[in-house]
Amino acid sequence: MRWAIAAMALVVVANGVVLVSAGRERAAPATLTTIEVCSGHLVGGETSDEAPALRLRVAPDSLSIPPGLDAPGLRALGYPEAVIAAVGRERDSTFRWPRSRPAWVRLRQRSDSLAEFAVVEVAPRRELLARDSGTVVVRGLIGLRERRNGPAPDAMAGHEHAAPGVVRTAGVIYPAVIELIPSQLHLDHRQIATLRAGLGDTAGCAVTRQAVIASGAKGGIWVESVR
Amino acid sequence: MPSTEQLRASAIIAFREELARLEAEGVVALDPATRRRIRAHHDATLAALAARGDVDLTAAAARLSTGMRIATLLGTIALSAAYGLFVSAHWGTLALAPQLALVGFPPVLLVVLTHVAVVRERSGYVASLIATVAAIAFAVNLGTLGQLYNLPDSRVALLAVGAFAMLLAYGYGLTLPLIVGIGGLGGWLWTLGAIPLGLWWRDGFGVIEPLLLVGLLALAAPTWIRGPAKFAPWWRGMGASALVLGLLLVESNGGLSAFATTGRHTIETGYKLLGAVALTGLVVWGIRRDQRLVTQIGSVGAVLYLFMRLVDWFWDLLPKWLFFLLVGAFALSVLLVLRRLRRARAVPA
Repeated sequence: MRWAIAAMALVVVANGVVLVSAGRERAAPATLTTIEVCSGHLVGGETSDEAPALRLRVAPDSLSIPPGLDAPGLRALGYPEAVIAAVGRERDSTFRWPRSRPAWVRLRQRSDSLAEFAVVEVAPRRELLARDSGTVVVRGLIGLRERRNGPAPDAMAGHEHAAPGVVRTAGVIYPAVIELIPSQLHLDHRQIATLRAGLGDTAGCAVTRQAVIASGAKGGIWVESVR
Repeated sequence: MPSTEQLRASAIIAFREELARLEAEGVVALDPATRRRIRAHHDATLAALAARGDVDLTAAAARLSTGMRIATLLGTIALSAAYGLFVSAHWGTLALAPQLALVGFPPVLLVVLTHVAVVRERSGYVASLIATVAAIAFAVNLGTLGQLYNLPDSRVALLAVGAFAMLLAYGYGLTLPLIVGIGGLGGWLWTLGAIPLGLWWRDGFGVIEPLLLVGLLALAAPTWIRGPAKFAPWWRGMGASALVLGLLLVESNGGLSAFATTGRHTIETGYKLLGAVALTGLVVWGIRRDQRLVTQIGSVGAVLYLFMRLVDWFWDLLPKWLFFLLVGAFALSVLLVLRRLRRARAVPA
């Protein structure tokens, strides 16, 4: 029976650690950020099998590189010099895609038609990021991507039978946030009901509601309220 | 894997059958008193073995046991899926307290049920099923807590579920939870390789060297972890699988090595050499130590390794028909070598 008691104790301790630390953090939020919520940002709820959540959508990469993803920033994240040297250049045959690196990311919601988030700043540690009521700080994975400029016109000319997509040219290497952790925030049953009722199946961000995102002192993040 | 009890029971039954055959052929004739003494001793031994664990005393019983094992596995998968789907179907409509109860209470309840099943049903099949579902329920518990509080996914969940499954496996001598436990703890150890490389823990699964170390640890585990004798083949089998999988992956893709920043070709060549030595060593070790599962896994790994080398060396050089003829000839030569080894082992000491 002592093994069973030990197993049950493990369950209780694991649950207790999560509940107590989350409870303490939520009792005193460090920052509150109000964001616009569109129908497309919602996941699950009603009869869906998915848990209700608010998706954090990062806008497609822009041409400008945010602070923290420049050469010193990539060095601070642990990328080797050979990889840093390849950034901003066309990929050559010797280039090997490096593994992604964990970092902290500061996001600001855009005011465009999709109300997506733009990356404002990246840092290896959370304390290095500025905090304000207009931005949200979450973990993220930083990786390298390739920006293609499309096939060269003369590359197509001699291949009349080839599909256009088959002809590929090497693109320019650039750093980007490839994943947010968590990529969506939990909504309780009241919050999802309020948002679903207010937004319905509206397309894009024609109709929006507001949600207040809270951040804790130890990096926790949650949806404090919706209206 | 047959348990120690089952091996002893099978030996007694085989002895009885062979003795009857020898007597029928006139080779030996035991006096009635000796025969009665042996019979009584064996009857008592069989009764004791049957009381200690689930022992098949006839071929029909052994076939039924196989069916019971398959039913246990299917039942575990079905019950775990039922629980997981039930949680996801009702999650969104519940308030916080019922949500926490829905995921926190089942692992505890299932541990109690495992204990009851062990006491009331000696074969261990039902207990094994319930204990494994308990481990999966605990994994669901931690996963949904993480979702509820927007926590980043973490390797600690693997450690917790692995430890939980191990407690039930070693506490009650249950094999299926042991496999979950080895998987959980092994997965946790594997991802520790991400720390020195500065990677997110999940990306640790893309680095093979820690997997090879985990495989070696699992192979050695039965010598330093005390527990039921029937657990040893599972430890060694899972260790051998980790070694084989890791070596086959890294020798064909050097990018999976922790040292991938240096010459990738050199890494692949190095692991090809290491693979040849390690897989041969695994098969030889398995044969010498009479570890059937290790020998089988090592042999499968060695054959796959050699097939991959044949593809590397000859696929572009030879016509396709000649390539497959070569593979066929190679398979025949493997058969001949294994037959010779088997003959050498068949001669009694």
